[in-house]
Amino acid sequence: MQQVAEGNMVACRTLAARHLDHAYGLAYRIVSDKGYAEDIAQESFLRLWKAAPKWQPSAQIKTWLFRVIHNLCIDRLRKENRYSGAEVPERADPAPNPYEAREAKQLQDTVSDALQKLPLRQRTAITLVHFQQCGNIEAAGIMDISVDALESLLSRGRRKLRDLLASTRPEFDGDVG
Amino acid sequence: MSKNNSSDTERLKALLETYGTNTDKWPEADNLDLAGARARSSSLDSLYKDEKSLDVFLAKNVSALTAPSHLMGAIMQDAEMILGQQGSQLKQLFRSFFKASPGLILAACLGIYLGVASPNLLLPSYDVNFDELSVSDTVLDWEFDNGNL
Repeated sequence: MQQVAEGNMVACRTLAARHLDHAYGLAYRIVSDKGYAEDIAQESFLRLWKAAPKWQPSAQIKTWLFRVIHNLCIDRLRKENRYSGAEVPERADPAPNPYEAREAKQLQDTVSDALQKLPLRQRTAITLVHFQQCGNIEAAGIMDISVDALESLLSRGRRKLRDLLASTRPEFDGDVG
Repeated sequence: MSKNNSSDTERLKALLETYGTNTDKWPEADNLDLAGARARSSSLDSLYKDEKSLDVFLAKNVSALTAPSHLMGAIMQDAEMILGQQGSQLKQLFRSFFKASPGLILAACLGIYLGVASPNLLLPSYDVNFDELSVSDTVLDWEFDNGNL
C-alpha cells in the first residue's frame, strides 16, 4: 500500500487485479445491476487511491473495500427507493430463448435469480460469507452489525434460498453423494 | 444423552443452518465434534445431509462474477490521475527538462562552435569601415550638400 501511495502504477495494477472481481461481484450481488455495480466498484477504488497516502498498515484492504462498497450500494438503493427489507422485484429473464441456453446456464440463472430474490441484508450476508470468503466477524464489521445479527441473517437467508430453489430439487438432491 | 451433549447438538444445528457444512466458515470458538454428534443424533445427520446438498448445489451453480475489462482501465486511469500527480511534481519537472535536454544541448554545442570557429562574427570588420566612412570628407561633403550641416 505504501508503494501505491508513492504512485507506483505497477503496485496499483496488482492491487486492483487482486480485488477488482471480488469488489465488482459484491456490488453486483447487492444492487443487481451491472452498470451500477461497475460505477460502485470504480468509485470504491477511487476512494482507495485517495486514502492510500494516509493508509494505516493495520487496516485490511479487502475489508475496507467491501465496507465502502456495501455503503455505496446502500446509498444507491436508497436513491432508487429500493432499500428495504422487502423482496427485490423479479426482473425479466434476459435470455430471449431459454431453449437455446444450456442446462447448466439455466441452473446458474435460477440460482442467481433466487439470490436476487432474497431480502437485501440476507443477500449481502450470504454473499459475503459464502461467496466472498469473509469470516463472520469480518462480514459483521462490513455490514456494521453484530455477529449474532449476522448469524440470524445467514440462517434466514439460507432457509429462504433453499425454499426458492425447491423447484430445482432433483438437481439439488443429486449433488449429494 | 447428557445435557452437555444436547446443548452441543443444538449449537451444531444452529451452525449448520447458519454457515452450512464447511467448518472453515464456522466461528473459531465453536470447535465442536460434528462427526461424533452426527453419529449420536439422527436429526442432526439428516440436517447435515440437507445442508450439504445445498452447499454442493450452490458451489456448482453460483457463477463467479468477473469484472468487465474496461473497468480495470478506468480504475487505472483514476489511479494515474490521483496518485500519478501526488509527490511527483518535481519528477514531472525533471521529466519535462529531460525531454527538452537534447535540443538544449544541441543549441549549446552550436553556440560554442560558432563562437570558436567564427570570431569575425563577433568583431565585424565593417565597424571600422563605418567609423572611417563616417568621418571621411566625402560623407561630410554629402551631408553639407544636403543642408544638414
